[in-house]
Amino acid sequence: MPTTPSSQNRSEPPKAPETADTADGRAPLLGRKAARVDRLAELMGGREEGGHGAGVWRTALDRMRRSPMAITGAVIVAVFIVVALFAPLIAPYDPVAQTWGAEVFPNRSVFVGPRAENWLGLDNLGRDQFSRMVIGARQTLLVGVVATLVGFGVGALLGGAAGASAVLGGRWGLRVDNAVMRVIDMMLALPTLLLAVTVAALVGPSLTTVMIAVGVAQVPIFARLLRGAMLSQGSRDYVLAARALGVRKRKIALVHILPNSLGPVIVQSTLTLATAIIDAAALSYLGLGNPDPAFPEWGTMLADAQRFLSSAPQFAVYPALAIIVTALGFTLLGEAMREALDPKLRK
Amino acid sequence: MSSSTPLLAVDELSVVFDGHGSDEVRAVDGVSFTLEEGRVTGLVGESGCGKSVTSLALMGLLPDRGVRVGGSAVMRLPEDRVDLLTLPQRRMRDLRGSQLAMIFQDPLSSLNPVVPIGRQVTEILRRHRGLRGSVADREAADLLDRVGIPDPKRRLREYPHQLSGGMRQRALIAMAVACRPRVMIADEPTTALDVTIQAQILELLRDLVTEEGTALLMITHDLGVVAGLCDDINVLYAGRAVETAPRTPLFSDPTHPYTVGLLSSIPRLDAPRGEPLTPIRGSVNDNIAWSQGCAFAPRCDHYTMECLQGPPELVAVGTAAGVEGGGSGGASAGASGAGAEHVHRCVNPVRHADVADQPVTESPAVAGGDEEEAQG
Amino acid sequence: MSLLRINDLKVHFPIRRGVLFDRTVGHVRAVDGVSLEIRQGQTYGLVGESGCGKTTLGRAILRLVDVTEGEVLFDDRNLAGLDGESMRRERRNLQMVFQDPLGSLNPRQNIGSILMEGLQTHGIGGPAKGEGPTEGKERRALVLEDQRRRVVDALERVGLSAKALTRYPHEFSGGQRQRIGIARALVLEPDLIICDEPVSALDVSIQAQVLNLLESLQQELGLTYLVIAHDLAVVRHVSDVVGVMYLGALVEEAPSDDLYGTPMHPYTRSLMSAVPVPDPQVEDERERILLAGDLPSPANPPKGCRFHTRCPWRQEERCDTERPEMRPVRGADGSGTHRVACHYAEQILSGEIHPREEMAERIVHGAG
Repeated sequence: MPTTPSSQNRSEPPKAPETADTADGRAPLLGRKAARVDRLAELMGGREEGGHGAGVWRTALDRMRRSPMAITGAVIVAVFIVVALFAPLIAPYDPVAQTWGAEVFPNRSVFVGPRAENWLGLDNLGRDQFSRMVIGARQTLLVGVVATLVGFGVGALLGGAAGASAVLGGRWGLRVDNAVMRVIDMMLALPTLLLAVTVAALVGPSLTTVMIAVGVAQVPIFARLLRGAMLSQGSRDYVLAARALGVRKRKIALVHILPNSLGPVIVQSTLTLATAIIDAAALSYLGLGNPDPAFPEWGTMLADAQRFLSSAPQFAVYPALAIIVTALGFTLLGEAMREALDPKLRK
Repeated sequence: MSSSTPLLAVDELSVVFDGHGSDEVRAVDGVSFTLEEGRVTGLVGESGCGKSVTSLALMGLLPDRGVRVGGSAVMRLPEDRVDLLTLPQRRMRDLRGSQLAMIFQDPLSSLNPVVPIGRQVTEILRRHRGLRGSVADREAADLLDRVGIPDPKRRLREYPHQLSGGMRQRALIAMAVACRPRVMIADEPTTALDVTIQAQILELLRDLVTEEGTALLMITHDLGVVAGLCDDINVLYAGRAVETAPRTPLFSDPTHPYTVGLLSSIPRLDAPRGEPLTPIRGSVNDNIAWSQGCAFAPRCDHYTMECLQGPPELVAVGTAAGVEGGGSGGASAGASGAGAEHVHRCVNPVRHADVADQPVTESPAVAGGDEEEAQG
Repeated sequence: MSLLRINDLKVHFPIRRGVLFDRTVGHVRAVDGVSLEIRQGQTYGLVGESGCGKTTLGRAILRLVDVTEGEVLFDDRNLAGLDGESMRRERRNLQMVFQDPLGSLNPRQNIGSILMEGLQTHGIGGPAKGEGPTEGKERRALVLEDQRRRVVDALERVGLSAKALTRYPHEFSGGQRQRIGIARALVLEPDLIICDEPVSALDVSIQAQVLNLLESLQQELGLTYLVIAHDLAVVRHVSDVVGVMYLGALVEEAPSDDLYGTPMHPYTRSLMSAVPVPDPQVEDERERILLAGDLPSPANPPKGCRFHTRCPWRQEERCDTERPEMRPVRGADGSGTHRVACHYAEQILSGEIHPREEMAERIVHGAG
């Protein structure tokens, strides 16, 4: 009977027969039956599953814990963030003080390599390279995070508005969507770096310039991504079901469509962090970054290093490696997240 | 049936997927059947019973890694006999298309979307029959005509998305029969199609079998399709055949509770209306390992203590059955004569005299019982 | 008493082209003039092949797609004429069960929140107006408790326990998910439930469970169903009245037994003859009418009778030019409840008009 209260999801063995049989009052049959049911319960047991339901994010997290890709990415990212956050505590020396200025003579190609007191050696002005790298991580993280936030915030707002109005807004919604997306298309048509250079040219070279420039360049990507995800979620049956239930459109957009569309966008933001770091480095390299030498930045360091490329290639190798490894970390983490969230990619 | 060896004899086929970190999955667990020229053999079962995996194993289309295939599938070729399961990839590729062909459920995803139908057909003719140029084109048009595609010359130049679902399935069948294969495997060929189109396709398959003498392995969940098309039927459950019989006895005297349950749980167009349906309790997830007992026992209205003592054997209907190691019964019944005999894998089969009253006293749940009661 | 009456309902989807300004270049006539009536406590079955417009019709009743023309009278209120907000409130009386049990449940919501949503949306539950505390924390607690009780009640009605509340859709089997979908509709205590292919995504053995559940719920709660399905056997099993759709329009409608006993429209006849029966003897002796060709495009339906391009009984002139209206014919019981849209239904039934061999293969499988 449908009204029988019963558990579900194979967490417990069958228990129905007792009631059915006491009415018969046939004791031997009852005994045999009980033994049989017990045996069945025993065989079906041992396959019990966790008590409470797990949501999509929790299962994704569980899956990521088993993925070597995710772990590698997470470790790199974690190290990077810790270094960036506690940079002043980690850096052994002042990154700007030219403490060992007397030991370095770039004109004569005399440089100091790694040694006990300066782990990565000295730079061309006799500053501690290791301290500069550590403090530089801070700048890089700042640029990456702020740029990504700008891209994510503006992009998600535009894309979300376009997506929501396209899915639920009827005819007028489609027009709003159309208008927003044409603007986005125009932004997408501009090459990222060109856009960044334009912004930098307008505002002047500074760290803010780099952050805005890199962020703005990411806006169309986020907007398109979120809109696309919302459109595909909007055509799913559960959205139709919510509408059939009489749920208000605003609530459908915010409670149903948006949370289910955020997955790819969040994955994209980790990947964007990687590109933002590289773009920021590129802009700094082109001289659009922070001109203040008091704040070392990996991109600027890389740009400075090219003057000594033949005599002291290590100046370029350290920041380049740092940029590559950090970007790789974010990419690995993002890819692992994408895989964990997308059931189609599951093995 | 000829007294010589069958065209394709599948013996104790098993397919085990390695679980990633978790337990391995026995998708197919000792399935045996034979295919004969001009006959249709059916594999029937619900999702997860292993019917599709069986077809992929025979076609050599399972991935190389993470899968273990056991048993044998001996096919009689004009010159010699080969075991399809151990054949090297190269030989298998030659065999596919020329001797073995497969028709899939979804015709759209089985056709290359960016190549015209004609090129896809002539490609097969070129590779396996060495036909080229206008000869191949003419043969391709002939093939499309034979499977009932009107205006075949024009269709040859069209892309898959320009054809309707039924036409695509016809085109796929045309490709499958292009080299007059001796064995054809159809995996749910009509599931994605409407009934009127399904009727057309089934008619086409029937003609191919009777006219060309092709051996057809029909894989489906639809008992109606089976009743109309198949000569011999294997009912699969949780990777094993639970009942095998020619179609008449299977439908008139089903003995395994699962077969009986399937037949009484589908509404029939020819039965008087208002007859209540008797569903099978639970879902396919409610099973126990075959090694421990009958996998169907948790959903069965007839299970006894003996059902839970060990794996039940495949025995001829009418003989006393026992569990393996229990002693009784003819264990060889399934392997050799599956084509003709009525065999089942059950220690407490349904006897037709007491079908009417048995479930009431014996069932743990009432007849209209539902999924959850089996589970708890 | 009729609960739902549909008058000449049309749903046309515009086909738009253009880069900057969308031009409407044509219409897909998904539903093109359907009239039907569903009585209180009855089950109306709507059958047809994919692309015939049956799903669109179901959605149009709930206004999930825009109605182009026509009336949907529910309890004598015209749903097609309601504004958005009134329609939204009306939806607690009309609910829907979907084909894909997993797809129709939000993967991020647990079962409790899925089932609560409808109650919260419509503010159902809690002490009646004028009783108990009228506002504040106390009332909210009472409302929540009452809503929870209703949700658990609905879950138990469909055969699930309160344990399911904290679980997520992906943790259930297909049949259980469909039960959750049914509970979601039930919890609002609607008068009409539209079931769109309620069992076609389920395993054979599970289908019967869900069909039986729908039936027993109808008996207990006096529900009215509109069951939309492509499976003729399923529709016949559950329905009191059956309508057959072809290319956006009804072609035949009759009480279930009448329709399946004496199908009069050529399309219904061929549709029924195509359904395989799980009985080899029946299969061997049965006469099949195999239709030639495919469904024409609903963007450009044939003139005259929509079925004339595939009809084995087609007659010159009239079938090609004049669109047959649904008209009552004397059914087997002579009651006049049998409606059919065919100019020659009686003549076909009596055998005056023979099917043409080149249009359809009629196959009788003999013993050989």
